[in-house]
Amino acid sequence: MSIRFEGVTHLYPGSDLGVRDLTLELSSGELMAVIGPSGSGKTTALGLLAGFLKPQAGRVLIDGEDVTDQPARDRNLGIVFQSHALFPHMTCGANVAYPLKVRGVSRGERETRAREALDAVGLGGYADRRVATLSGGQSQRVALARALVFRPRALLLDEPLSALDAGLRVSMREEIRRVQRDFGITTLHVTHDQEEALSMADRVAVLRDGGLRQVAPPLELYDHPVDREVAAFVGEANLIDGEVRAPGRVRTALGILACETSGWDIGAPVTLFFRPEAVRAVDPGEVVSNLLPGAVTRDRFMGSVRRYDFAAAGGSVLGETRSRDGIAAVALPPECIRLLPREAASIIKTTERTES
Amino acid sequence: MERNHSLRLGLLALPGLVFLSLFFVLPLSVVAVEAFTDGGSAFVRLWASGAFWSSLTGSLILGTVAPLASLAVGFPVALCLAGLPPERRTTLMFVISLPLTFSGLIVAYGFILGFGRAGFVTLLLAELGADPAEVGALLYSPTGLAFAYSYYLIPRVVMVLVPVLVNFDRRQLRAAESLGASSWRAHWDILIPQILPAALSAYCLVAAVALGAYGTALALVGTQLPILPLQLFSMVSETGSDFPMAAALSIVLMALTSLVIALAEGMGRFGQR
Repeated sequence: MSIRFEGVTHLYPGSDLGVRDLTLELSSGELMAVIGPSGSGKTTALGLLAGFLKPQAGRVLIDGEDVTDQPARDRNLGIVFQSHALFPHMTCGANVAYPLKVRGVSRGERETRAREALDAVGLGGYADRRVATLSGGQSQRVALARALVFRPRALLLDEPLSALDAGLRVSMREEIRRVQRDFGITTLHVTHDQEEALSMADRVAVLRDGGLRQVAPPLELYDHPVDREVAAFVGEANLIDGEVRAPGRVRTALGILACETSGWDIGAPVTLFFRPEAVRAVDPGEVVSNLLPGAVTRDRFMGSVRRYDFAAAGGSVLGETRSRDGIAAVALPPECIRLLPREAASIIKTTERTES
Repeated sequence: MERNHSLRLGLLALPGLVFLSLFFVLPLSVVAVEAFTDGGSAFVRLWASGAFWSSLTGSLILGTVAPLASLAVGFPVALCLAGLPPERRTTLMFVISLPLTFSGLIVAYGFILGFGRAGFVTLLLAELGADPAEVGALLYSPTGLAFAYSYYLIPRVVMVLVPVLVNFDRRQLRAAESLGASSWRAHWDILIPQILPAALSAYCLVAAVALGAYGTALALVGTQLPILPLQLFSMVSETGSDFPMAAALSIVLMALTSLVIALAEGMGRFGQR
């Protein structure tokens, strides 16, 4: 089932929060993560698809059918809420069977299908358990089974992992992804955790101030962010203003740096973008491009890596290294530096999904 | 040290205990002794009297209709209040609980002024063609009495239900709707079962109040209406009355209301599990 937002606008009364002219398409079976800072409109987008909110303009289509005016209960979408919203007065089995009950499915079939759904999320034998006795991860699984048992047209995940503790969150990512693949169900996953989005999604949509900034597979989003805002939001980034002086040469506060400048005019104001892991700790005497001598001003030990602020003449660079030695100079490999426009991009960049 | 502490606590409790003994335990014991003076024959006389049975029936009707009506009105009000922002809810709760501070007599006169034979609502309805004699008479019937009782029973229902409804996670209703339930169905399947213990507890609480109250009834209908508190009132106020029988009647009335209150407590406990 494909999902399509077509020029959808919904602004909350008396504020400019919401989404503006959102056009976004999810292809069948795709898991799309929607990320963005709080207030960016990601939860609004989910509410519009779920039918909890009505757009002031535009249309929402599920599998080509216009559902804009359909109430939530008729849309046939499985939703997993942040709070899980399990019904505490029912057993796990009754919770999972509830969508079948309201659809008039016979008791026998209900129980069988509820058990199957619980099996599918790894909770076989939990049908008669009371909701109050479940752990956070188990509640999450029951909520997932309940959202899938009635074979909905799509699955909507509203920050489903944010209520769990860190270790569990990572294992639940894989679990949700596995179940989503098993069911082959188109999924819209709203999250504020960009790591979660990058590790789970087929494609990631970045929202900001109610507008779509970029839609791309995780790797492309990370390596080719459309502008400095997306670059800064997804992962850690060095963003340094500069001006193209000559082909392959950009002047910055750190000095003239070598990097690919094709497509940019001489004199164009640009922002240089490179990830901390691209910054190489080198020997000050080494002959490499973009060598910056200086000293570490702040050192953060993160376990497998160290992340450090490196002060060079004219500015500071955020770097990452596995080495535990002192650093007297860093090099910025020219192939790792990308140029971005100074201003936020006005064009939304959308990459079609490629079958993996 | 430990003994000292409990001794001091005991001293602090003493005034309360004295007060409770003087004004609650003592009169109650006197009534109980009075009721059983001649070997419980007062209860036999009560059992044999037709007036007792018709009063019991009247009280049971009143004790059923008034709480049902109060619950029917109080539940939607509580549901609405629970959905409001806290400051507005507090303000409205204050307004709603005002009727509780009025004496039963004032409530009765208020209803007579509004709905009596010459009450302004009655006269307004008369303008629309309703017979004022019929509308006015309604107030002086058991139904009318239940209506007047609701005036101060509804706030009690609201006060019991609001905290429970505030604690109810409304996201469950949204979840139920996303799973295919209509709004009515979601409320029926998800909300009602979870607040049922509180609703039953509220029902029993106001039923006990309706059973025992007599000020409003006396002011509205005099002693004509057959209900237990009014029968008791006429028995003790008339000269040459049968005091053991009146005592027996008060024991019965108290047992009845205590039973209903105990049920309410039981429901509340059950709901907390």
